[in-house]
Amino acid sequence: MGQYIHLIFPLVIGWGFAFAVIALSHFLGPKKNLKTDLTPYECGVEVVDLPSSKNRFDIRFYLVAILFLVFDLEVIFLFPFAYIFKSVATVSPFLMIEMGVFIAILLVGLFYVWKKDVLIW
Amino acid sequence: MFGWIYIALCSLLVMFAILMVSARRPISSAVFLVLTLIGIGVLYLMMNAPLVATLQWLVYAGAIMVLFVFVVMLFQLRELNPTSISTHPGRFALLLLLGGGFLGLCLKGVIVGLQEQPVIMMGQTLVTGEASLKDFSLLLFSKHVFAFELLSVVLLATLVGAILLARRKQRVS
Amino acid sequence: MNELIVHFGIAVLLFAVQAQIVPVLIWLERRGAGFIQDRLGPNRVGPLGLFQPLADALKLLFKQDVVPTQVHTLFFLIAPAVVVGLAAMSVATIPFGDTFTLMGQTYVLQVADVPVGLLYLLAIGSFSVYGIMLGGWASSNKYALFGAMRASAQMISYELGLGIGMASIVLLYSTFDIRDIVLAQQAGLLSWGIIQAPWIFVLLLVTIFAETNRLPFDLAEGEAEIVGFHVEYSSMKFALFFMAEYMHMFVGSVLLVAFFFGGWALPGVSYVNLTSWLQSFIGGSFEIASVLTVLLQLGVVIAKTFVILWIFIWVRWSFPRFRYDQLMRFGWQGVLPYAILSFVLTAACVYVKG
Repeated sequence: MGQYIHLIFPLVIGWGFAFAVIALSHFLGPKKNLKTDLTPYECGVEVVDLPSSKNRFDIRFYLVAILFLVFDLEVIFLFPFAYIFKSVATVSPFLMIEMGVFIAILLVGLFYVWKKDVLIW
Repeated sequence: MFGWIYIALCSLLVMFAILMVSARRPISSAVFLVLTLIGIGVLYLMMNAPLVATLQWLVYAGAIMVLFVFVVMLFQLRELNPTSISTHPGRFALLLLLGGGFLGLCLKGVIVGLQEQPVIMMGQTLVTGEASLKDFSLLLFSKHVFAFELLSVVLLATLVGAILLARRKQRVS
Repeated sequence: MNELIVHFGIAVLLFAVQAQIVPVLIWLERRGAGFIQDRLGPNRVGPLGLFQPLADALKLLFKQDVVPTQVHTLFFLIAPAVVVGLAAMSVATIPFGDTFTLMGQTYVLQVADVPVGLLYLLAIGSFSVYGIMLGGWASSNKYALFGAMRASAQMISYELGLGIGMASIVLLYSTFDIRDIVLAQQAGLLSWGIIQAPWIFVLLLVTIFAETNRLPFDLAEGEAEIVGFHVEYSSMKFALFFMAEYMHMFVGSVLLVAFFFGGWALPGVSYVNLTSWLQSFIGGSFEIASVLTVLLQLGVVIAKTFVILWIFIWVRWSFPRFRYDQLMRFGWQGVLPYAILSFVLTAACVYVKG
């Protein structure tokens, strides 16, 4: 537990530095608030806010997030396997077979996702 | 000393949870949930489970909450009409109590820590990190291997379900 | 109490190293770009243009801090601090030097020598997606929002490759502690990671390029081609986003040095002999000799890191950038199968060798 306390130090130093720099630039800069500075950027024209442009999103981002979640869960199971592989695998090959089945089932998933053209943007 | 810091952290986490439930904007709610999950990871660290703590940060706060924040941002959900819980008169008082409790308990922990004999301070634990990591991994692949393989099938089902839910009507060529 | 002060001092030193590398990198990038493009880089401000980053920082510091009216102020202010803070936190579990003694206690030149250092690093990398997403969303500008979605989708796609690459490293060395990984490479040139498993080096290099939004993967941050997620930011908040990118580059390079190039190992130099030679040279204190040795090791790590940082800069000015759909397709149909294949290959190698 003792060493984990030291993880607080870079947290305090890093975030403190960032906030200090932001505060410094806020107080040091000029303060001319032109009208164009305060409106959202839309490549030089006035903001066009049609009602038909609200809530039009691309579902592919949601799919990427779900795919990332599922494969991230697979990756975290690779970590305990990798930790004990060197010491256990030389004794018995069952560990490799277990992990092989796991990776094979997930490769079936990746193959299905590939074939459904979900990965093509 | 760590007992006091533990209770202080619990108080802070309850405060974050109440903020999450009673926040006005969905994105604030999501951010407070991320902070709560990170705090739970720190609690696991204090209970001598570093592997579970880092996996909690990696998966829960780093993958699942990313999905939540994606959805909130994609839908561009507006601030709802203030519900009764976010305007409740006792809410601010309760949050102040919990936040003050966190600071007070931290202070108590620091005072106790400065007074007590420096025995436990630098890393004396009953179970060292490496031994428990190895035991955990060995158990996962020997005693619980069936659950492990079943988990891969569950993940496959999740994949197929997500694709079916979000499939486009036309194929993109 | 003394130990806490020394550890805090180590944390301050390592943050100072990381933060001071940023101006050096800015100078190196601009002069290096000029060198690759057959022109001079900046050479007016100071000798060889060495004070150019200082001039840039002062200029950005004194610019107006524009906060448009429609932004969500709290998240707008916090987002640059999140990315910089996380970049500073990720250096915590990487070793920069071996043990040294000070006032009777032994320390390591590392902020926190924890047994799960590698997973902690991966978790901090996962959190850095939030800074960009919150920054883009808080700007209340639909182009910034789309830029943030693109950037975060790119980062999470390549994070899978990073995770599997790290799992392959754990296969080789059988530990999550980065200090143990560096110590396992001290036994001569043949034990370095790059000799044992060069395919993982390629994988990790490519994914670190993508994680730090660095060319050829930098469509999200645009630069005169597309509206990025940082359009509404000005002055130091804008600078902090790019500072965080350089800090992440530094952390990624130090990680690659620790995994593949032996950290502070110099083939043929034994640091124990060096310490005793230094002790007899300066006549007396073992502690001062050990501190000097550790500082030398820090210098060796930084020198090796600069070689990899030069590769970052070299690649940036030599290749065109990917289009977004090419980028995502490469991440899922290229990097992910290659990562799984390299994991299986590494497992086979370890099985055959053991």
